[in-house]
Amino acid sequence: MLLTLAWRNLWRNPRRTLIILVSVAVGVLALVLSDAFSIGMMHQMLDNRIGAHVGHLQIHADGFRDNPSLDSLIDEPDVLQRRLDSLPFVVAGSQRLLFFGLLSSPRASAGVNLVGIEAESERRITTIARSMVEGRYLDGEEGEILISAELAEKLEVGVGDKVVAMASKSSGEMGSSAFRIGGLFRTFDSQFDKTHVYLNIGDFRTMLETGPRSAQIVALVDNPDSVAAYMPRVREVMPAGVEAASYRDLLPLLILQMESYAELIWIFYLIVGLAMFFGIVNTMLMAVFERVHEIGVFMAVGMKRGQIFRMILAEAFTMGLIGTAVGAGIAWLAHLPFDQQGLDLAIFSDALHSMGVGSRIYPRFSAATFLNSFVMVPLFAALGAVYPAVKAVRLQPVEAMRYV
Amino acid sequence: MDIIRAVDVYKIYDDNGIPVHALNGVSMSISQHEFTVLAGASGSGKTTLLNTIGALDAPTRGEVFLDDKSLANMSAAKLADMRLHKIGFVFQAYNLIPVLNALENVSFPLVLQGMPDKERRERSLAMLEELGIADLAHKRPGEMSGGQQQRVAVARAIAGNPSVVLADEPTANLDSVTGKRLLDLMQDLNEKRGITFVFASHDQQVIERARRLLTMRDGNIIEDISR
Repeated sequence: MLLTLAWRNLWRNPRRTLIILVSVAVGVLALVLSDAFSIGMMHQMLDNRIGAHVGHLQIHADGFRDNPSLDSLIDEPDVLQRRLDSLPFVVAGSQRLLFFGLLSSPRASAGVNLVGIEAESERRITTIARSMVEGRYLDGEEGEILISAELAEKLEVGVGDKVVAMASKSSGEMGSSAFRIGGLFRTFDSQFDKTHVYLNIGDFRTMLETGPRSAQIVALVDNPDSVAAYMPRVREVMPAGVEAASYRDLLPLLILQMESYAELIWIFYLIVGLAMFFGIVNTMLMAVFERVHEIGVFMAVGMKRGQIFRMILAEAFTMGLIGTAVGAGIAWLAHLPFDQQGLDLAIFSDALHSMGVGSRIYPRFSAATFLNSFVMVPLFAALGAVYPAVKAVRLQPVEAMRYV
Repeated sequence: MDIIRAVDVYKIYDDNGIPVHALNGVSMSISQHEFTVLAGASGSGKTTLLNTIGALDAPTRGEVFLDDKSLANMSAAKLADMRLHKIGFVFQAYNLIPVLNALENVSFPLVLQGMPDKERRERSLAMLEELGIADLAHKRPGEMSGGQQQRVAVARAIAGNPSVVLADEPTANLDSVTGKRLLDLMQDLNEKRGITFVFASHDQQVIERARRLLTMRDGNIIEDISR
């Protein structure tokens, strides 16, 4: 009955209750939606980086990641790839040869990462083949290269034009080859686009005289979220002198950013909670002062101070809970139109492009978002009622009943 | 056996620095099955005495015993327990809980006593039945007349089987006919069920029914008449 009483007390002054409910609901709505879009944006950044180049895991010779050189190549990449392919969770794999070099056109030149790829198997790993905006993806024809539309603009070249790639061989001499631009791509990351070009791994091996060695084997797994659990199994099948790294190891800053966000979001909860806290203090103080006489009656009929305290907290908690449910419900409904089509932020496309996000943001709800709201907001509401409740239980029965 | 015993009770209020002596060394006792009225003019101290023996207000000096237990030095929780289990209150302004209906109002002390749902409902309905207001069970106080509300208040006061019912000016807000009916009811409860009643009133028709009349003046009992 105490809960019934708390519930009915809420609706004694419907306008006041509705005002506080709307405030809570709007706060939760803003919080949940911004959380969903922020999480969505970070996951897009991660997915884009994985999809454009990184994959779910990579195999390198020891030391290559710290100091990429032709002395740190994988000697028998085909053997290692077969071992990798034998793992049940690996769904695709491909070899790469990649080094920093110079790409020159007749009018300009740029420092780039030259990435030699197995065109067909790479197609299953990354999104480059699907990111072509002009020309076509590598089809195995010798002497072709893919560059981004941004780099083409910088080098003042287009599809069909010739460019010259240069990189150091292991002997220290410069290796160079001329390539014809087969196509232009555009990913979600302008920084990536400016610094990566793709060519056939065979052409690159010939240019650098590496033989059949590779710098990297990149692979996708069936469940990216389980990659950390898969890595010990991957390392088991790899020989000494080879290291395996998951995307979590390869993109430490982005992973750190996502993990930090999960902690920083509490600050937003705190801000919304505090704003609501003061609203609740005010509302519950008014509610208590309006019911001083009645609180005296409660005491007279034998209600204990603790029960009165809990009843007042229950009123505030209920308000917080309803406000959260309404706010979270509206947030859920509001996100539906953006779930499939995303939120079009084309006016910020340059900024988003430089951050590695597309101009459409797809909200992503996590159980934690809802859980945090449903725990934190009613809790803050209840905390906001502590002071009014303390005022209430400090009343003396006779004095309270004299109060009109 | 004495249900209530007050020994040399003083109550001194502070009114903006001026001490007001509401009770001046009152000693009295109330036995089981009494139908007692504290009478006296306004300011004589009858309500203060009722509040003091009802564990609602602490005396400045002196001691009050309820069922032979001293209320002095009892914690707020213990005093609340005493009020819950030993005392039923009926107030001049009815003091029903406005958001609860009649049945819930009567049930309220039983909820606090921890009585199981079914038993509580049956007891509360029986109380309303006994007081002739079963048809008001689902009405809220705002939908009832003053007389009806006061009957519900009486039902609430006796629902928990208290040792004594303390009624402060229970007829003051009622017309004489309604007041008479209420008093008939309380007298009936006293005679048939042996419930002890102590009234604070200056209403003549209450005073006339008293089997024991304690007259107060200036914070003292000046006359104690048993009829």
